[in-house]
Amino acid sequence: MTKTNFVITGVGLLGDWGAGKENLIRFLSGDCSHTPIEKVDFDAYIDTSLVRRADYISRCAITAAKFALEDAGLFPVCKEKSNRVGIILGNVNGGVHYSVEYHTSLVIGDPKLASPLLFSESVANAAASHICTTLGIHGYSTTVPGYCGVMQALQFGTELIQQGAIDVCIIGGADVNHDFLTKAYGACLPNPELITANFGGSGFLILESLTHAMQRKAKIYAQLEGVRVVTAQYAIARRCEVSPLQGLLCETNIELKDHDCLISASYEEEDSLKRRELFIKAFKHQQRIDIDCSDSFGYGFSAAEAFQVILGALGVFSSDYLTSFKEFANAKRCIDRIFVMRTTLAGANACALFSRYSPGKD
Amino acid sequence: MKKRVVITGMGIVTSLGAGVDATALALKESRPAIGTIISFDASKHRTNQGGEVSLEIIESVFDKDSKYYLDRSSRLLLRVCRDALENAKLMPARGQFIKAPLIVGTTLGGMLASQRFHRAMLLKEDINKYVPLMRDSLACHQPFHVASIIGIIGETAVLNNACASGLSAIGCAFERVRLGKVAVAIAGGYDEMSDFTHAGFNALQLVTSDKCRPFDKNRSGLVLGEGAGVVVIEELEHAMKRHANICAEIIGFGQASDAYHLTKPDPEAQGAVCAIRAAIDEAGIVPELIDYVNAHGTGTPSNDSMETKALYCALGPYAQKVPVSSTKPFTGHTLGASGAIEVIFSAISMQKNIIPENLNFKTPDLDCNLNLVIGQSKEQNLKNVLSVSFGFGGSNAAMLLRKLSD
Repeated sequence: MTKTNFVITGVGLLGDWGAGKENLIRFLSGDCSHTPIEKVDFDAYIDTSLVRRADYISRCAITAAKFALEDAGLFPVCKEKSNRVGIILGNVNGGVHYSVEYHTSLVIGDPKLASPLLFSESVANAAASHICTTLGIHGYSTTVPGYCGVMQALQFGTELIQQGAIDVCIIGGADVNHDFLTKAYGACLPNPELITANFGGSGFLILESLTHAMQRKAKIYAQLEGVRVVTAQYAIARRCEVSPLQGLLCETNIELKDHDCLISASYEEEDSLKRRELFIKAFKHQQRIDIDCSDSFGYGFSAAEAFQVILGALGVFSSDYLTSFKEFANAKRCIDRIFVMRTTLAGANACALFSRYSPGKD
Repeated sequence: MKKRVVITGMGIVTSLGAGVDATALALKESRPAIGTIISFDASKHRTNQGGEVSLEIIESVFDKDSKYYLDRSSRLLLRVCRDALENAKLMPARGQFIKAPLIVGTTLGGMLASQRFHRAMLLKEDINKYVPLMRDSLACHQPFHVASIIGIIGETAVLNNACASGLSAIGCAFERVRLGKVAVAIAGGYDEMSDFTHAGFNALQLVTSDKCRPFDKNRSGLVLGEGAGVVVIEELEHAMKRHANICAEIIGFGQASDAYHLTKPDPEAQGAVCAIRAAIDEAGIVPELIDYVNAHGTGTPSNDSMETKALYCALGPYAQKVPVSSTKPFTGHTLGASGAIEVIFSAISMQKNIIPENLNFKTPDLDCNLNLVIGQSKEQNLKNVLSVSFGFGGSNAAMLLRKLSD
């Protein structure tokens, strides 16, 4: 099978720190104010009359997806090609505001009077569906619930393009916070004080084949060399020698080299942290630039994962996105390759590799 | 060169029972399993009828060494994964592993557990008692638990495309094997019944107080069910080398979005047509070679007329001739599991040369002018079968299966 080269041609972000790439830089350098997602003025970004009743997660996701399409020069989506555009959304908690409100009405109200609107917005693929409807996307659409849902979405996106099912895939993540989640995760997980730092938002990137991007003369942020997702807790990962990083290196036939950059995030629990250490042993002979962004994006789950992945894609395009990290400031050089790695709950491990795109190298 | 892909193992649990044999017999004998819901109080709703999996089956699924809390969804999924792997003769011995992705679809898998936790919060009960429930209630935890218990090493993934989830998951695994990325994949769907879902479908006025009557003029809605279905998908050569029992070949898959409405299907059926055409194109066959369509057929007025339109647009005049039936009256609509369950029904139909009856049909509808299999199941040699699934959010998926000749 012919190898397909994949590139990232657009990004869109919306967090409680603001919207867009410039605000991401300000946020990472600690220079921005925070607005809770519930108080974001979505009218400034999208036609909210189309999604007047949608949950916050859907509004965030539509906004970020629209930004990404605009950034890639693909907005509005051409009607004739709309079935060649797909969307895959990574997500952990779904439309939590409406789910909680709906279930509350069942428990302490009359189930007969339950709101159909609240129920339908509680379905996990509601946000992806709203994106399709408001942005006119008729191709493949799905939602991937999971702690590495965005990287899984990235993997599925490459496969769909490789199969020829679509030409362009809008890939991202979205999650929003709710008091219920703060209490629930606070009761279930270690370090509950960190949960209060939970925040949400959404991030999207545009994936397409290099050939397709070149045909339409798109700006290219990064080349996606590969992505790999592995589910295994520490004991099994060690015993069976499974690692998303090693898997990715084998699949792409790439070797680690000095000054490769690693942007990692690990959930603050023992198993995730041990898996991170296990996997990055592959770097033992190389001097890597190690950026741990576990704290940067907090417990925003899929939103945080999307921001991390986007940082990887933007980081090889411009060092401006990395200068606020002290590890990079010490390195003082441009980055050619960034490995984005996550080890998190439920044995979820993922790794993606972005490289600087040089015209003519392929 | 794309690989040929086959199904070499199947596991199924519905209200009809557990396993391929029990299911096949019920389909052949036109014996549905819809009854009064007992797992929660459904008396306040428009119907208290549903297709529940028997408590005996649910309770028989456990793992004495498991450190995980196994909710109803996890149990359903665990049972069918074990059955499918055993059926494929790929079940790892305890302490051993099988390397394969586990890709499953669900709509609200784990909902019962998070519901219980939230209920405790609202009623000011001691929530600490329910911590394991909450921790393990997110959809991504169920395949993780199952993979950990069985010893499946690789990627566990959940896809959510509402009622097309199960078929989407099998389609995703099919394409991965077809591209040569893996030789074996495990895929399917699962969903449990809960008052959250039951109340929601009641609120949307999509459930019927009558029987579920797909494509009938007097159809008035669906009946909910629960269950799980998982298939082992394998590259043909890989399967032949190990002399595996081949249940069916997957020859095409398509998926597309309506971009129309969150809960209503596009009356013009554009997304459904795209998905069916994509599956047929990938299979490289003409519609006239399709011997049976296992329809989505929920029994709601809007789905069944849209689906008829989709079949006419995608298959042309042959839509009037090809035998069609919906199997949802047998089990109830099992939501995220339904696509996977119906792929297994389709494979069983080919194995047994039986087309299941479109149950409860009485009055023809001009809007649903299809060659429905009515009165009883029909014996017919089946070579190619089309299975379709549609869901909330405008999700549409279609898969073509072929009987593999000797």
